[in-house]
Amino acid sequence: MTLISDELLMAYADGELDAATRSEVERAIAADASLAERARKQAGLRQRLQAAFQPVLADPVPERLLQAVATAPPSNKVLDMASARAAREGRVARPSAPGWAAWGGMAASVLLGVLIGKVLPDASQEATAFEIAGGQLVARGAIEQGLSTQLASAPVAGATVAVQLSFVDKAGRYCRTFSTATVAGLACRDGAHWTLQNSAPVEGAAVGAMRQAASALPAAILAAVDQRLAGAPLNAVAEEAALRAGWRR
Amino acid sequence: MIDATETLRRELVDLLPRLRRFGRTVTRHREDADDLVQISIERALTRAGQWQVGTRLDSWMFRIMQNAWIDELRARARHGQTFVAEEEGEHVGVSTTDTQIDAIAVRKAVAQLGDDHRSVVGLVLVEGLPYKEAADVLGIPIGTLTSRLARAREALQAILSTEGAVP
Repeated sequence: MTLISDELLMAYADGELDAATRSEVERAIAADASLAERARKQAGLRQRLQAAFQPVLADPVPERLLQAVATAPPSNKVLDMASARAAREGRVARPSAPGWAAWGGMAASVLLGVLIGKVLPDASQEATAFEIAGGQLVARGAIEQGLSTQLASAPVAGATVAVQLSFVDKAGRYCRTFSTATVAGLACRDGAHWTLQNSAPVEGAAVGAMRQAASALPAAILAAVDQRLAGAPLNAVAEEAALRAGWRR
Repeated sequence: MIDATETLRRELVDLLPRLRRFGRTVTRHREDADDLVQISIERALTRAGQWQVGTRLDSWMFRIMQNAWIDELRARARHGQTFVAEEEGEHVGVSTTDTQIDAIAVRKAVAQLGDDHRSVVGLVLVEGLPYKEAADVLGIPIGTLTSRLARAREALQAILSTEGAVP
């Protein structure tokens, strides 16, 4: 029998051996308890490492990385970690930071189903979607419910309203964008209500049987977000916390 | 009509969790890992034409990350930040079952390895890349990869056994 080295056992544990060598190693292991123990250690370490780093996969992906995938490269400038860090810490505005308008184009393709839920709208609800209260248009019905209960980070399949972005505006209120099959808008939380700040018809809204909420927000809504956004949009964790707090700050 | 860059973007979205995990292994720090992933995405999309649809995107991205990380380490060295502390008390998850305690011990053990060893461990043992792929990512001969991997494993076993972690 050939001498089985640690390196060979390691390759065995990592699935790197061809079939012939593998069965040779297996025969040797079966015949030698101490060899079996060494093989078990090699395989065990691999399993422990995989288990140790597995939870990282479930960690919610931060908004800025989704944004980078969706919008980069905004210029030919290649950034280094120092500028990424500076941007994150808010010391320097990143010269290449894309405007929110960039979300419009990419939303339709890249992040479909990641950020934006598909919905089957019920047109009859739009007639009673808003009512006037205190001189403001206040969301009612499905839109109010969508704004209050949906997470942009966890789109609800089959809901009648899609919510795309949540953020804190310059006045310190939570604001969110939403869309149905025919209309998109920006609403901000005032007390116990969602007041409509902007709305725009969805381009090319189909009149027909199966209609989905707009996957791309109209430019007017994106511009309104750009104007009001105080910092970065809420990430999944912050958004969930805001929802739990009833959108009160 | 979907062009190659759009295909790349779609595949990158799916790959993000693994890129963040590799970043965590290499940088030992959550925010550094995400910074590294971010600039690597930007670099990748800047040279999207270099990636061939149908080839392994993970290896290509890991190589970009590895190179970006080396750049960062050099930049830190130039600025005199030769030592970057690992993140303390990082817990993914809240309960403290045996598995999670072991996971913390293992992640801390990996954090104590040198940069070369962490990359190899991250690629082969955590990300599950074949030796050949991992060697290509790092731009080293396969023999160098296996000897580094063997040494990294010995070091991990030593750290974990002295700390009396769950075997």
